[in-house]
Amino acid sequence: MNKFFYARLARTNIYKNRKMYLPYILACIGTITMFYIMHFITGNPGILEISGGDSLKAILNFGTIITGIFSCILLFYTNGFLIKQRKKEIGLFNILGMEKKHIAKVMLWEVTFIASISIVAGLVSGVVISKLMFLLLQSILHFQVPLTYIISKQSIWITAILFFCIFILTFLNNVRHIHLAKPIELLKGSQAGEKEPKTRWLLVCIGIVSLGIGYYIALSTETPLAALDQLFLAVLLVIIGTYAMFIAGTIALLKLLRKNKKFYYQTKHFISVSGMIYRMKQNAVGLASICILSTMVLVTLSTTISLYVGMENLLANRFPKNISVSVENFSEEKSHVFKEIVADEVDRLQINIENPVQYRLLSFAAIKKGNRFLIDKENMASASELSIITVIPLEDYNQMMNRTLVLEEDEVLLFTYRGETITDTLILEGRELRIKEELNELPVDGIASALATNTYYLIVKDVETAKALYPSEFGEINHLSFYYGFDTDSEAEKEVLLIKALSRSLHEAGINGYIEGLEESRESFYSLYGGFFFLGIFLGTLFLMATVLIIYYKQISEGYDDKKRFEIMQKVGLTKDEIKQAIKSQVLIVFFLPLLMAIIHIAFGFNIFTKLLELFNLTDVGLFAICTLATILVFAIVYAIVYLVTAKEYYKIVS
Amino acid sequence: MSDGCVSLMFAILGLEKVWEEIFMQLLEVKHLKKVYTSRFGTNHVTALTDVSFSVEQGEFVAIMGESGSGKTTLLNILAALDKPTSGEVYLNGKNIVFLKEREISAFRRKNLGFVFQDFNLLDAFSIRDNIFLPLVLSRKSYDEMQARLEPLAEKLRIQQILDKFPYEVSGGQKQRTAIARALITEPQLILADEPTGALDSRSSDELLDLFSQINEEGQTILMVTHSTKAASYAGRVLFIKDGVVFHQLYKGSLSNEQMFQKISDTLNILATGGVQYE
Ligand SMILES: Nc1ncnc2c1ncn2[C@@H]1O[C@H](COP(=O)(O)OP(=O)(O)OP(=O)(O)O)[C@@H](O)[C@H]1O
Ligand SMILES: [Mg+2]
Repeated sequence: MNKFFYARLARTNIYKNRKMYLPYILACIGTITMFYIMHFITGNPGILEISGGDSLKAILNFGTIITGIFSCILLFYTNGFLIKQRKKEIGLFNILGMEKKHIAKVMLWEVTFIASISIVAGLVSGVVISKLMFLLLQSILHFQVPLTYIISKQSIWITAILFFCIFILTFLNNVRHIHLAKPIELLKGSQAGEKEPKTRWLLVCIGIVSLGIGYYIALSTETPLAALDQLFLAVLLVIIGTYAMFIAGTIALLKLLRKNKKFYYQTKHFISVSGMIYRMKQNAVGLASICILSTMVLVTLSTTISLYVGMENLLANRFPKNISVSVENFSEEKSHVFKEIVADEVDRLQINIENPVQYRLLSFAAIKKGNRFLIDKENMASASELSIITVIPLEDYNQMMNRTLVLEEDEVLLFTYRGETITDTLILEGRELRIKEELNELPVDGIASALATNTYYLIVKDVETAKALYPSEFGEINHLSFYYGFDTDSEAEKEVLLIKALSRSLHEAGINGYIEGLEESRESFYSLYGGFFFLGIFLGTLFLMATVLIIYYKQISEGYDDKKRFEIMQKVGLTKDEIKQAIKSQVLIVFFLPLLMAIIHIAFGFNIFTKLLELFNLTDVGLFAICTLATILVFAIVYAIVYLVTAKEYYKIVS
Repeated sequence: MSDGCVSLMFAILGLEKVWEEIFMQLLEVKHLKKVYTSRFGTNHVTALTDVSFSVEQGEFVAIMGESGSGKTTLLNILAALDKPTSGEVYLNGKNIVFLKEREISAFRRKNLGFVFQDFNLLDAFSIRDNIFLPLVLSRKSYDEMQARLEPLAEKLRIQQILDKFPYEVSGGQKQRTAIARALITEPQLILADEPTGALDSRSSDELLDLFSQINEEGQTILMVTHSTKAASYAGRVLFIKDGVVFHQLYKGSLSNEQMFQKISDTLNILATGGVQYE
């Protein structure tokens, strides 16, 4: 046989099946492009020069890994679909006298063609589009990114190697399929597995239970840290539940409907119920995947957009005052020096201080159990009841709030920043403290927002009481810490200058303090949340691509299956209109079920995601709700467009 | 005088019933012509040139002809699945060529039953539901459907497999299911296209015996076939060649074997270019 016989056969095969292969190749190119870009941006040395670059890099790194894993799954899935569709043709080769060995050879050529086309095209488009992505990243981050636009050899290699491996795997999988199958089965091909699906009640139960627990966790989560803790479990449960419900739940439901003879034997239901059982069996996994993907698109986009749009809100949470200074072990002398330095620097830069707030404090972590607080240094980190207690002397409070309260030794005023409040008494390490008053407001330090833990502010009688409350496990305390926050009347640049100046002078004077300012931090916030946003758009696009691809293949394969069914029905006496109606309602249900389910997931997940966003200092639930709704709306429109386009293909095939 | 005038006369005299009984054929095909035109109108294939014949109530007619002679085309037109280029088809005196799309489906459901070479059962339905399909489309109640099915299933020996699915049963059983589906609507006419084509000889014999039996009970059957054996079960055999009905044979009182012989003789003559009948 001619040396190039197999190669030529492979080429004609791809060409003949181009309706199937073109989207696959496009998907390969797409994923390769995205992976290259992601890897390239992540590895760019310029990233680390941005303030907050570490976290940006971490986010992007995460994105790279996700993109890689996801590409692998997606290509595997689509390839599996292709091989199923082509089984008949391959069976024919087999019967015409080609051995499986030879078929494998043809397939190797096919994979080689597809792999080389996709990898080359993917890398070229990756190199080109990465330029565009730079610009996008830059405009998202709101400042010049010192990224160097180069063609990264390393990224090219890694991308090529990764996808080469994926292609090899798909090839091996195809060979396995062919090897296991008997020629007759191959000939029957895609029509082989038309067995009536069994009702798998166990799976239905698993589905209901995991969805139930997943939803319950999502709804009952109260604190951001708990959300972080539980998110993974909840997501996992919901994913399991979704697959189980799509695979077994739908079929169980449809079969119940079929059992109801009055309902089932009506023209409309008769065709759609049986059609759906049939379809669900073949497409449950695909539909569940579409549902999960849609949910992911919606979650990533809505959260990252909220963070990005809500940047000013979360900056305001994180930085209640434009500039804040914290100093530990704040003695009398230090206090004088501190005040002088501040006054000097403010004068020098001609800045006026506005809305100043200052108080002394002591902060420590404790585990909250009801109204008891326990100190357990060992197990602190793991507990989700972890709380921060901040003690402030009454004197400072009175001065700050212009009040003239008096407290006894065992009396406190309580301000709860986050978490459930405590009434009457609280017990701190065995010491019982009476809550004289619950405060509604207290100008707090931005750290409380940043820490995302429940924080309890206790106003106590005096400095000595405060010191006495400080747990000895955390060491000796000589002086309290000091918090000083203020706004200014000047523009951003000057504030940044002031921070730098203050920081230097305090350091020279031997005062250990921590200064942070809104304007100065803005950049790192934009790089962090802008990074999330960028990633959101990026992954959103990737997931969307996958969704579209799966939908396309679903429509096409179903088109071929349904063509025959509807022909028969027409012969038996169904009018064209009735058939159209049946097709339409069936396609609509199958198509929009995943979207509906995704929206339900989002609705149940809303609470836990709100909590999670609090972790990122975003507390504007309204904003998040609006962003979520907007994302859902846009996504639904895109989804509907995809539907219309693919449905056209479907109708072309069916009629 | 044309049939129309005569029928009008009888109608005027108030004797439609008498007219029907004396003169009307169940199926009348007149000067049927079918030309297939390729998509761009460049190629014309004349599948049927001028086909005329009629079938009486209770007849079992077989249509034979070489591959490509237009048998399936003819059957599709009779089933109103396709429209002829010209000519008329009367079923019970009603010209089905001019039926509207809406009427056609209902007409098909009420009057015609189909049996195909490749069974055309739906995988998604159980055997029972496959048989019910045309009745469900006619909005019959479940009880009525069940009542009709029971005697039929017994006659066709498919009671045992009613709740199975098409992929679980044999070819012969599938074909019997298809026949049950065709019969359950109590159609005027059964149209069968190569019903034995996908069956082994034993299943074929069973099927043909079944057809004879149904026919004896009064069912009119029109069957297209390649098989001389199958045709020998019929009461009349029409031969199609070059798009026209070339010849026809009546079984009369002949046995199946004698009929078989006669058919093969005719086929031989046809193959060597015989004389056209009429
Ligand atoms: N849809 C079509 N478009 C164009 N030509 C057609 C079409 N269907 C059939 N033909 C042509 O019409 C002629 C008759 O075809 P038909 O299928 O009726 O033959 P047949 O007698 O049923 O053959 P067989 O015994 O092989 O089934 C053939 O020449 C065929 O090529
Ligand atoms: Mg034919």
